[in-house]
Amino acid sequence: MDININNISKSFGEKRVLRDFSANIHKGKINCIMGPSGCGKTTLLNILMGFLEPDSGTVTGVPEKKSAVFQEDRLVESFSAVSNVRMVCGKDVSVDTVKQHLVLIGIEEKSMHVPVSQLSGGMKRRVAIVRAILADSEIIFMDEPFKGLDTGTKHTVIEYVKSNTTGKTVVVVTHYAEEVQMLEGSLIRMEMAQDNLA
Amino acid sequence: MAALIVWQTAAVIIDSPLLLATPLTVAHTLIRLCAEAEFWQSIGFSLVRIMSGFLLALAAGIVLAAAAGRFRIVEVLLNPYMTAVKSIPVASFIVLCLIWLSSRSLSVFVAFLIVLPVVYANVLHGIRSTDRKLLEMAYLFRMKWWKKLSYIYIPQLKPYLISACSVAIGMSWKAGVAAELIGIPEGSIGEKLYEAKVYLSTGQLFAWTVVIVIISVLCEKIFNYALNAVFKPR
Repeated sequence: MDININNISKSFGEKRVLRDFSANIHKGKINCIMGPSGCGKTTLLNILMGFLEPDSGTVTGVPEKKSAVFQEDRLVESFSAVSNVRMVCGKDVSVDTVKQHLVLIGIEEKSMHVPVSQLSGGMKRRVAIVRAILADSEIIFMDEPFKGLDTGTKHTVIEYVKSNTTGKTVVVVTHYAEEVQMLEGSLIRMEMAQDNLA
Repeated sequence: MAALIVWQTAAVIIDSPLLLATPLTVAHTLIRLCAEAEFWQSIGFSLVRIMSGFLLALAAGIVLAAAAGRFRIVEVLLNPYMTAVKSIPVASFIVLCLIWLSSRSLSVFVAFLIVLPVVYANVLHGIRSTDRKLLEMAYLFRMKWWKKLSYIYIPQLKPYLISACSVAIGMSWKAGVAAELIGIPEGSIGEKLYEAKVYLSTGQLFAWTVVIVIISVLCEKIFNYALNAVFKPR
């Protein structure tokens, strides 16, 4: 079943972020959300993830099992890349599987076992992506997942995401049409809520 | 080294072993005491009791802080008791405990009461400071409670726990020995200090004080090492 977002609105104090926004997120597909900064993309993701309630409107069909790449990675800095991935996985995901995925995304063996606090921003991002992919989930939310990655790495990571999310619903927030094209995802455009227009 | 020189100089100037023993006298007394079985028995007696009080308070403090962190009502209910325990003079507790308990268990109880509010306050502060964004992540990924405990709470609480233990171990020794000095349980360090006072043996008083400082520092180091080893990130 698709996810139906029906006329949702959300305000923070006086500031209205979403106004009567509606969209349809296709099940088992990559769905890309694009829009200008401040149009409420992250707020929409937070509503879909269950962290926020809309002031009005409804969201239906969001699966129970979720995973995410947050805007700020949200890794446990004192643990290694392998541990950060393993902590959200079940017993069926072995250490070897985690390592294989980290290699696929361009993380070398020597970087897998040091605390992630010692990794670069781009490497942390990739660890967060592997964590979201390997977690037992039906839907993956990705908030600007390729931010901070160089062009070559971005291509590798996008290919990795495409080939490892078959059958899963993926919601990607991005600013770049190029990423939407590479992901071959369906596009949901967001505009600034009317009250926020200068 | 500088402190030893100042101490020696002051002792030579004062020139009264009753008022201020020299470092050499203290060293001689310590060497003599080390050869006596009673010395080690006294250390064992106080060590077991004071550290038992400390460990019991550590466990109780963590459990109570976890409950207070989870349920606001527990924090509200505990607050007046913790404030009272922190404010009541140690001497009042000691006298009260002497009425309630035998002098042999006095240091356990006093160490417990002194350490409990320190551990409770630090751990609760640590729980309150836990990164909300990581907890949201754990919620979204449906992490099991024991994974949340070992991967999120414990790493975040570790510095608070180490800080609490560093302060609390020293405090437990100060209060525990003070309790023994008043209660004078047979075979304790407090009894030895009392004897030093009665016989005006300043050298022995200084020697036992040095011993207390060494044991307290050693306990702190060993405990911090153990905490770091047990909660080592993987």
